[in-house]
Amino acid sequence: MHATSKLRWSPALAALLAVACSDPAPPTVTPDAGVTPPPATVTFNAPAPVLRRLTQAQYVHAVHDLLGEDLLVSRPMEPDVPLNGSISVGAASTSLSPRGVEQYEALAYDLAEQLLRNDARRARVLTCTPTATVDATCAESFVRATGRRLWRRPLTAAETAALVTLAGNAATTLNDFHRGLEFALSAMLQSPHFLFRTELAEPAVGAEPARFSLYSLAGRLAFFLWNSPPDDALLAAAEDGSLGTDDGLRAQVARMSASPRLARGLRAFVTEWLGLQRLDAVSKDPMVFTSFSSDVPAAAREETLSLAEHLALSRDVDFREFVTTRETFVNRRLASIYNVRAPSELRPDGFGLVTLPETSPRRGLLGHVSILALAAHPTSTSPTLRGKFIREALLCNEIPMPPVSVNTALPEPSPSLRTMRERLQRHQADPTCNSCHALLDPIGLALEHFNGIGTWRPNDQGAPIDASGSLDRVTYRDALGLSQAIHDAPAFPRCITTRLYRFAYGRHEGDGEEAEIGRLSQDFAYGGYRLRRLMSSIATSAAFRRADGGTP
Amino acid sequence: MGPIRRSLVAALVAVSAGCSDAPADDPFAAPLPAQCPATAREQSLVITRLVLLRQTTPGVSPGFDLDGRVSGADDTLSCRRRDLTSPEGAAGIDNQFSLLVPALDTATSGALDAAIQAAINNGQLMVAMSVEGLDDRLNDPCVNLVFRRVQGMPFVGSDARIDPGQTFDTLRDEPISRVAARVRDGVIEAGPFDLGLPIAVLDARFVIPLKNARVRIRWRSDDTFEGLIGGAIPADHMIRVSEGLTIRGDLMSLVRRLILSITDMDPDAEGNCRSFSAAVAFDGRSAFVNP
Amino acid sequence: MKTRIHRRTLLKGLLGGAAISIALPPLEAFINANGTAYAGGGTSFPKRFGVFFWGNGVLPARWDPTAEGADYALTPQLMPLAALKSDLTVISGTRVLTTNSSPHLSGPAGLFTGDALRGGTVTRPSIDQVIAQELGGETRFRSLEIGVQRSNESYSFAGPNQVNPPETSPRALFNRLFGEGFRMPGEMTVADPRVGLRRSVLDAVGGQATDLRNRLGAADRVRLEQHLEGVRGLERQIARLEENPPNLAACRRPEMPAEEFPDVDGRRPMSAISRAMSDLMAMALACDQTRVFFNMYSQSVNNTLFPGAPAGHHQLTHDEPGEQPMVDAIVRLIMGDLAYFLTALRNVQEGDGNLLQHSIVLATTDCSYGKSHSIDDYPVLLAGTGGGSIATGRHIAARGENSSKVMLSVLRAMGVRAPEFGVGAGRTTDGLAALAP
Repeated sequence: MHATSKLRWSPALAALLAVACSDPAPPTVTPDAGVTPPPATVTFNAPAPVLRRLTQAQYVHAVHDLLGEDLLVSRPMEPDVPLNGSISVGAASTSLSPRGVEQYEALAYDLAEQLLRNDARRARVLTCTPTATVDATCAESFVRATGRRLWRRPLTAAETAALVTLAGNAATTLNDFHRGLEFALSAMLQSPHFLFRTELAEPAVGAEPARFSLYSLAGRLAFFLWNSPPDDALLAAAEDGSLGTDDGLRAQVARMSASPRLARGLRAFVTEWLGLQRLDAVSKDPMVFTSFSSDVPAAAREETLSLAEHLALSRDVDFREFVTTRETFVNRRLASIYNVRAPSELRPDGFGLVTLPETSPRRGLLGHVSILALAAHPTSTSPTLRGKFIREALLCNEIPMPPVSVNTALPEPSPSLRTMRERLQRHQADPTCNSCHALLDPIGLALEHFNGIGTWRPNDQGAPIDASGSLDRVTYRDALGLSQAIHDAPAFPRCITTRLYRFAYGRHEGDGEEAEIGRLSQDFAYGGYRLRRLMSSIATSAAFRRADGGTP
Repeated sequence: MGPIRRSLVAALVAVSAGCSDAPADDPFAAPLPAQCPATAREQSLVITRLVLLRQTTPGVSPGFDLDGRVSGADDTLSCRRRDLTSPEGAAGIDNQFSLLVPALDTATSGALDAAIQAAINNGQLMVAMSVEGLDDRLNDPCVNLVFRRVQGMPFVGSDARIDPGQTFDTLRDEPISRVAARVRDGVIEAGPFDLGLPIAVLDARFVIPLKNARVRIRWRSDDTFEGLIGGAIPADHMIRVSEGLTIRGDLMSLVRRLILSITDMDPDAEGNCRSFSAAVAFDGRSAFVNP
Repeated sequence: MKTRIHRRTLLKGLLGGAAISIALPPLEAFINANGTAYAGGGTSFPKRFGVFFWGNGVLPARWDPTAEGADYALTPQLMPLAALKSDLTVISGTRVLTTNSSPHLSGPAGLFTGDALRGGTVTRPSIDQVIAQELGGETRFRSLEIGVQRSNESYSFAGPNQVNPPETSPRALFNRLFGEGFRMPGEMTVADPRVGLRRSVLDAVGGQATDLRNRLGAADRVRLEQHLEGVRGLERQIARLEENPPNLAACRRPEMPAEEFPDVDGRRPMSAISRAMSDLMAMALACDQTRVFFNMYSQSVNNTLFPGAPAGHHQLTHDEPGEQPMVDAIVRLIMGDLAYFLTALRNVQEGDGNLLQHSIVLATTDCSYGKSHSIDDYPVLLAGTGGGSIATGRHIAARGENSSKVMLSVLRAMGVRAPEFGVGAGRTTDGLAALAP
């Protein structure tokens, strides 16, 4: 379902007064001249936290991080279901279908078997040697240690006892201690405590707003920054209470930011922000696009994610360069589509960093096959879709649905109407169409030199392409100019902030959160638009720790 | 039949094989040096299709006038082999190979064209041409044209042709030919020079020596290329090449006789021609070549 | 009275290994004098319900028949269904009365749930899930969701944000239906201790879900209820492994379909995949694996490249000029695939009748005229009669009627006690009179 209307969340059960929140002091940074520092406190009204189901990527990371890198997650799994285009928001509202329950059951037994029937792997999670077929002590040590990791908190005595009993009964039936453990592990993997992220609040103290329990906070931090469950160090910080102090929190966030796992969080964010998961289903007509093959969509996705990671994490620069840079990552296939020399230095996956020449018509994200192919049709470009992408994803403008019962036909190419610009004239001329299409088509037309799969072409049906236009009164001559206009638009970094917020919080922002987003946006600017820093800012913010809504 | 356009013919008529009497300040008038100065700019192409030219109308074939003469049946210097006429009407075309092609076709049961295309598409027969020192893609009086074989598994599109824009590595231990050339109105021309044309087809590898070779390449605005290569091929060499193709014994003797009968170039002391004229057409797409 | 013979009582003592099946002659307790009757609950066959859904509408001028009643002439887009005319009811003229705010999405939401979309999702279960709620406990699978176009979306909703993602790989569907957990009639299973252990695990998981649910807010409680439902459903599924399968004469384990259905000229082979799915579904129903299904043949707004089409389906509905012959060709191709599906059901003999007669299949789309996104004169087809519960073999012109009336008739025909269907503008308390048998 892809309604683009903005979700409005009503405030939670208890009537909340506007409560000021205080953030830890911002890290020292040299701001651009004229950029003012953000306010120290803002109002913040947030809805109650909700259960979030593990996404496919999070499930796989959990298995690899907590049970072993070498375990294969090869069976089908309940798919991620985006809501209004966002996987995180969808995860916070969806449940499990009956087929999904079946799939998780099959996966659980498969993983348990892989882990516990192999001596070397089993030794990672089981340090005691059973003394009999039923050995409650040994089973308990396994259940406690593994359960704490899988459920992201210590198990209660009752939970532990139940699982130990389960393991014992299974061991008896099958006459094998380790086979018995498989059933306990399978139970832990099928449990809602594993499959769903529960975010519980501690009771509010006095006038202070309610905060998340430390284990819940650990989960929020890990799934946001790493798209993975907390590691042992983070769980320990929750256990000893240090995560509840400003310094302790900042120390953990710093540690997590320095970890290579930060790339996972960044990639999950960018995938969701730009809708890159839709590349799996992109369809192009091979009669029209002869050089489009089945390996292109995955390569295109990797290119965009690699560039984002390169700018945000490796180089840690002004992230607005994402739309203006000449750097990108290509493999041989993409190099061929872009008509550039393939890089000589390649990663093991065949990708390498290239810097496009000055004369290249491509800059940044708007020159990527990923975006150009997604915002197009199977047999042609679509300036409307491309304009819509720029408006919605990069500038966070809301574009309403087209009205029903309207004739949306586009004339076919003909000698008098050759280029897309000419054929789209009707959208501009008809007042019913113009109100929305004036926002979309002109921007998309700037990219007309890039065909439906992103290959550059000098003309369209033999006619020259006019790629000039304006973005909210900033004029440009071509795609390069458009990219610069987006780079310079204040809405762009604010939109990045909003989308990152949405990803971190797993919901569409409500009115009560606008001030916080404004504050973060200002902080983003103040910090030189560095994305790594913005991620930390969100993670260490007081708002991120708040659990308003009255969940006991 | 290769795609030879009118403009190519205009170029053929306009540019002579040797010197011209143009005024001294016309850079195109000066004779080409052995090599032109190299600059950073380079444009390469890879051959995506090779067309063995046939006389679809008897006496008509694209090609070059290699010997600068229009030879009739009485021309002893051409061993009495009559020159052909180009599809656009130009006389003096030297392409006796066009008589051999149908015989080779029959002898290989019609598999020759497909075998050549397959060899190109699977990377066995990838010939790259690079234009070095290019200052202006439409007009440049002095550039180098480089011929070399390249390697790699090419991406082939749904149109059964090598995709444009790919990067290939030069094949080691293979001859590289570099010759000075001109670019005029988007047409690159070189020659006469000696060129070794590598051919890999039907499990056989050859280098066909083209003496007195000419090359003409048209560079279109969409960065695709079409061209013509011509030159004189020694008959005995061609016989060896044919023996390398799997041809039935009885047909082989026919082929051998036919090759010997079409020789029209390079007469020996007794006046017997030892080579025959040949021309092949090709399509190309842009590529990058790593040295 | 159903007789269940528990394998455990006969074959106690055999432990370990996977469940193995041994073919034994069918016991007389399961077969009546004719050798064909279903052993469960008497001599009548169960009713089945399913949806066949395709995206992007039709061309009303070539879809709506003119004459009413049994003697109507098939229109060009209905012609592929000619051989099934006597089992088909064409309903024209109904309107989806809920708000048409989201082109292509509002129509199906209003049709299948009787309410408008809210917040990007439905507000109540879709009709197939309402029926599954009633019938789903009887069978191994509560309901089955499949599709031909590759996607994870569907209009089969158990509730808001509770979509049932479709299975779009024939091989994966086969594995799920006819893999490990499938029992052929007449096959007896050896007791597998792992079965009981799996149930214990699910029981424990259910307990954890219940415990968690009780500590959550209202919205999350509903979500965890769904999880719990799924866990209980799987428990029942596993329990069936220890029972004898119903003896349905037409039930056969079908051939395993190909692992991959590669693109042909860069296009997904929709018809080939649809046929494979149809064959599997017919046998799934014949073997009573489920009685409710939802087939998302193609999605709303899909831009699928159909064979011979120069552009994607959705794009063509908007860009093809005039009479839109290419759009027409696509609709007829889809109707051809629907015909194959219905024929596969009809070919399953059940007693004196067939599976199609014992079912009601609702075939519909996401709007009427794709170019304008209209949800008036909504295209609705009903195939089968649910064992004589609705009229068939005719064209009903239900001009201006609320589409919910059709849904209500279907619900009641399937034996669901339903005083009404839909809310607000979509609400009705009456079925469509002309559908009465």
